[in-house]
Amino acid sequence: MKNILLLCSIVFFASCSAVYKSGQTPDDLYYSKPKVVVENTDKYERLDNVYEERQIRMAAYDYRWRTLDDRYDYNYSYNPYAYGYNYGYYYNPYYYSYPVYGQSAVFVNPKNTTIRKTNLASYSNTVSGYTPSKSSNSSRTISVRGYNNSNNQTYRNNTYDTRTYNENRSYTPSTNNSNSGGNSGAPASTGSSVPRPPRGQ
Amino acid sequence: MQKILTLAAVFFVTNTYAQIPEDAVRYSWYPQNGTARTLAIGGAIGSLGGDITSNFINPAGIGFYKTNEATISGGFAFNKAKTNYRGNNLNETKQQFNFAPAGLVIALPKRFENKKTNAFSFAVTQTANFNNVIHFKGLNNYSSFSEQFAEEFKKLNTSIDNVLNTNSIAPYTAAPALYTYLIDTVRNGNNLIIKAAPEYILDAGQALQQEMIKTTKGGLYELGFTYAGNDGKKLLWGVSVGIPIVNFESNTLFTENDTSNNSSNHFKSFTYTDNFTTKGAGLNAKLGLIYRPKEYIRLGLAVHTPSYMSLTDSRQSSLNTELENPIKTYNASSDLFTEGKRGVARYIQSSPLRVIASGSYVFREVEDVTKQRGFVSADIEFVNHKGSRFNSNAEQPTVDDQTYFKGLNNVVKDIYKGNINVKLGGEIKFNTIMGRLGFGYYGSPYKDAPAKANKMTMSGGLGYRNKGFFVDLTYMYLINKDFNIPYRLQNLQNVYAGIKQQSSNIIATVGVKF
Repeated sequence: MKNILLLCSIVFFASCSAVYKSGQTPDDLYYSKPKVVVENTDKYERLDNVYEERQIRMAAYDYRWRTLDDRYDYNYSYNPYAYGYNYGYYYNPYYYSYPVYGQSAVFVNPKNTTIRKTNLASYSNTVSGYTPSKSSNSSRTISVRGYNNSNNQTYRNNTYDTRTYNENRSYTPSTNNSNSGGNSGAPASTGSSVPRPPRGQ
Repeated sequence: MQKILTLAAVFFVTNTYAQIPEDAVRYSWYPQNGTARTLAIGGAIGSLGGDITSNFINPAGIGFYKTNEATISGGFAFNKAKTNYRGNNLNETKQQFNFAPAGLVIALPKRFENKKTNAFSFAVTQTANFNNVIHFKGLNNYSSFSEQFAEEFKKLNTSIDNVLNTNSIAPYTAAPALYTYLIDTVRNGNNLIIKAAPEYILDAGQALQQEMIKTTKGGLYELGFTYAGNDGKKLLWGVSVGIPIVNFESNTLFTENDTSNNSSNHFKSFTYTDNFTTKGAGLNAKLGLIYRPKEYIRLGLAVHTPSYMSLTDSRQSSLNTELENPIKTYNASSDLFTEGKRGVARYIQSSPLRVIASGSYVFREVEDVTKQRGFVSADIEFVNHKGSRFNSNAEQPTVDDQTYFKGLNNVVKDIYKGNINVKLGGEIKFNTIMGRLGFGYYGSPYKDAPAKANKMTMSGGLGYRNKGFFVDLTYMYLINKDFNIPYRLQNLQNVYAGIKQQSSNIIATVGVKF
């Protein structure tokens, strides 16, 4: 497939380049001369004649174009694979009154859609929770968390004292399973339980 | 039938929120891509035009075309990345192919006035290349990657049973962590608290060995359809409709190990893998003008609307935890908590607005190519990175969805800013041979950064144009300074890795005039 594309590209490029093989190759970035247009001087040619000739040629080439001719009030085309009430459908051995693929099947493939949600409060000290107020600009003053890139300091021990496990990491699951988000309790899962493997003692 | 409809309704009305702030700049902060000629002059093609890259920068530049052109470009890059994580340096190399603009320009002269001309162009390009590897490791006595799972579980404020579920609410993070006992509830005085096993090591004043390898693939591609014209005198205009196509894949491997010789301090190691893909497409528009106040001088202005993209994420994670007291290994895949299938979420993301002002001086805008001498050009670009937005794609999003997306958009506004990109370049032309030099600087999109963040390009190239063909070859050296925050904790400072990437790029363009 790649070879065919490459071959087509070479043929295309080779045929195109013939125009400027002799003389200068224009550079449109600087300046180039517009193409010369040869106007059709026969301004009185009737367009409908051109249209009719084209239609006849197309109909001769392919029978399906004949159906576009609205000068006749009957449809003389014959297509054995056509469905529906066309003229002469009762002579059609393939006739079936309903489209074969008409009744679309409904496929159900439930998936878990909870992905890549993050704790937005971890991005700054002031944007806490999921509901920062848009109107109160003062409460959203940027105060992005600091950075730690050294193992020589004892930030953690200091921070530990202030963050106090009891308040921040206490396990007190809410009995409220309403779908309200935030800290009021996550909605109850609809699937079945996945028991943990036994923990060694 | 009713049963099928009910199940189908459940499928289509499920929750869809699933994004993080870091996804915002992925589709807005990248160095300019283009043909070899464009990259050789630093990307400063805004007011010059006459190059197929104009489709994606200033569509008015297509209005300079009065002849037809077909062109194709590609390149190869040798990347070297150096990371520094908590004092430890690491080097990584990677080679990759790059895809650059390819397309057609068809000049459409007016029938009765040869001075005014129009042109149509179709082109495809890779706007941003996501092929990359970020690898760092180091000792950390301050925080653990696993603490984010403990914080998440606390924030969910729900029971363990509600998380360990075949349709879990935290299937990629807290659920595997709870299942493998990486996080668990422990007694602290009279209270039951949530604790991550590596915290025992940190509590004892010892360090964890952390390592992250993040491999990303794919790119942001765009199909551009441009219609442009000129008044035959001083003004050129152009309108482009773009179809951005996203194909992104991320594989993250994060490991933590106990560095002590103590085999009874609760934790030995864990390995967490996270794979997600983002695919989708969108729509944008670009409007451009070029004004020539006098001969040889060109002034350009282009506005890129945000790209509105409908994206689909697919995700899977796994966790392997080795504990002590007693020594035991636990494994979990997110498939346990997602009905055995990869999770899927759909959402709408819009990229930020761009405005590009440009100017150039062209030495001899004459038809005779032997008298064309060259040009100098400069573009200055403003990108409003904080303007990226995420929205639910549901017709009637839930209150949870709306609240999360509102908070997410506010965080994007808080941590990013608008930046300025500057591009400079020039060309000297000797009949059929051209020589070029260029420079580009892309400022930081972050409001607050622990390390330098910018991109710089230095480039040079040669071109040959004769007998209906043209060939351009460019060497571009790219320096990318950035940082990576592997995890964020609500009550602790962020740890980060400084990143310096150096990339040698060779880009080639071949084209034909017809």
